[in-house]
Amino acid sequence: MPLNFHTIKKDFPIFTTHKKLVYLDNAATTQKPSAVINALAHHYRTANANIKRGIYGLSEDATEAYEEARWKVAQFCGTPCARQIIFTKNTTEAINLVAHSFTRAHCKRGDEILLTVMEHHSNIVPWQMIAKERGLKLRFVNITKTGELDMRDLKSKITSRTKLCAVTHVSNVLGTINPIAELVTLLHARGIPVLVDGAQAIGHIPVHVEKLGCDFYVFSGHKMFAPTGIGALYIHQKYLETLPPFQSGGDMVLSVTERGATFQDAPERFEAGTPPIEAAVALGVAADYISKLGVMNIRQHEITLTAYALRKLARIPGITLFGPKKAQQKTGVISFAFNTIHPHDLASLLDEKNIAIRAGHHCAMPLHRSLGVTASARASFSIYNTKKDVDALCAALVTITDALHI
Amino acid sequence: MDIAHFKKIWEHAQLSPYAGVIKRPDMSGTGENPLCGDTLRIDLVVKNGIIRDAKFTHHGCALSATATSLLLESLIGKRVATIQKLNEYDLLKLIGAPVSPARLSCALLPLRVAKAVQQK
Repeated sequence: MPLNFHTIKKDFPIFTTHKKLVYLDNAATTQKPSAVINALAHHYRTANANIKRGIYGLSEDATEAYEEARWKVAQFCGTPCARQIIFTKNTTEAINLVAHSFTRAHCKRGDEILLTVMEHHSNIVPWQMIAKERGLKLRFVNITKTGELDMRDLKSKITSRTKLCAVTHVSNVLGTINPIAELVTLLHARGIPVLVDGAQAIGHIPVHVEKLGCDFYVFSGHKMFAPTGIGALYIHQKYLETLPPFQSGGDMVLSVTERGATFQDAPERFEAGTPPIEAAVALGVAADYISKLGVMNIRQHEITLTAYALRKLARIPGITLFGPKKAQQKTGVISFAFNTIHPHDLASLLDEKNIAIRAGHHCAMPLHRSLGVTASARASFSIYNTKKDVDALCAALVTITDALHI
Repeated sequence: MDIAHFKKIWEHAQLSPYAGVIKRPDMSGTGENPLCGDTLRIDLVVKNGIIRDAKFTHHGCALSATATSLLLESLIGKRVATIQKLNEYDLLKLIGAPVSPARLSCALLPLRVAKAVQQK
């Protein structure tokens, strides 16, 4: 049954506090539903203790809540095995983990990592740093004029030295949904593992890591209604037991002497130090919240809204829309240029009308360079957005044009 | 920033007499706004330590263009050493319109670039 996305707003207290808010910056972070906010407070009120080694009931409760969250996240992204989910701080930390641990175990000087110009800086800079340290080479796949991955270019950039491909599931600027399953098949046929940055996909489109076939899948909690400070990394069984640790310290060791240490198995091996326990618990609740609504229902809502917005925005004189023009090919992320008004100026003017958009390079400078601009304005949708929000944005753009006599 | 304030800034940016390049500047500086990748170049003509002319080339927002224009206008006729004495307050005062914390890096880009100008 389709959900009523007009009443869903009531689940999000921020809209009670800020009644006029038109929040169109969901690709940066989503608002939080009462279920998630309450879960944080509930954990502190009922189960707060450090996890794992406490020999008392409360610590066992906290450990159980934390591990249940891991199980929920595993189910949510399509693996039956909770151990394959590593809790991280966010997508960035998860990518850093793979960049360090994978290259340490599998790469030699001169080996290559395949990236795309569509990547967020979080899937570029960790590779640049590790490449410099280990003498690796990075190759970047270009995009087509319509804002999709250039598959021909991708094939041409694979060499016998390509050791891993790190690619985004959905572009945080263009909204383009990349054909991950197809990519994985192509790369696996050449023996190349694939890391997928799912930060912009999770909660918006169905994500099933086993069907995608990828080796690593990473995402942040805060873009799927959970708190900041919690993210997840899915590791395929193939690498789960063999990758060396990333960060080291407490909780990830079996034993420590003055001469060295031995390490736990996954997931503990990759979770050094006290993790954000309550945030992980709340991430599990956020996953439940999304599952209850149904990802396909969310996707349908975002397609309808994106199609409406693309249609309506395209009619405004002076607008240039970047990326795929069909809602089915993308998520609810729409980046655009507007007349000669700089995106930062535009965002300031829209803020006066309580419309929150993002302006700048959205941590994707190489992509903006390939689009021929330094910055863009970006509106991005979530489940609580309606056609009214799109109307408010469009009306404000027209008002600004009129006021500036453009 | 409300539309009325922005309109003044926008119009100033469109009409600034300081936009452009100086063919053989005595001093020049370039800089970038790390938040959005906007770029700014400032050229100065300096005679006996006094700024005689100033121009800027800019790829960025109206706020940073206008802030640059106002800064350069205030600098002409002053000693180069004056630049180093300027601070955030001085530039915000020159701009006159309210600048929110999120836009500070736009507004203050010219100050950063001006302080970094070097002999050509």
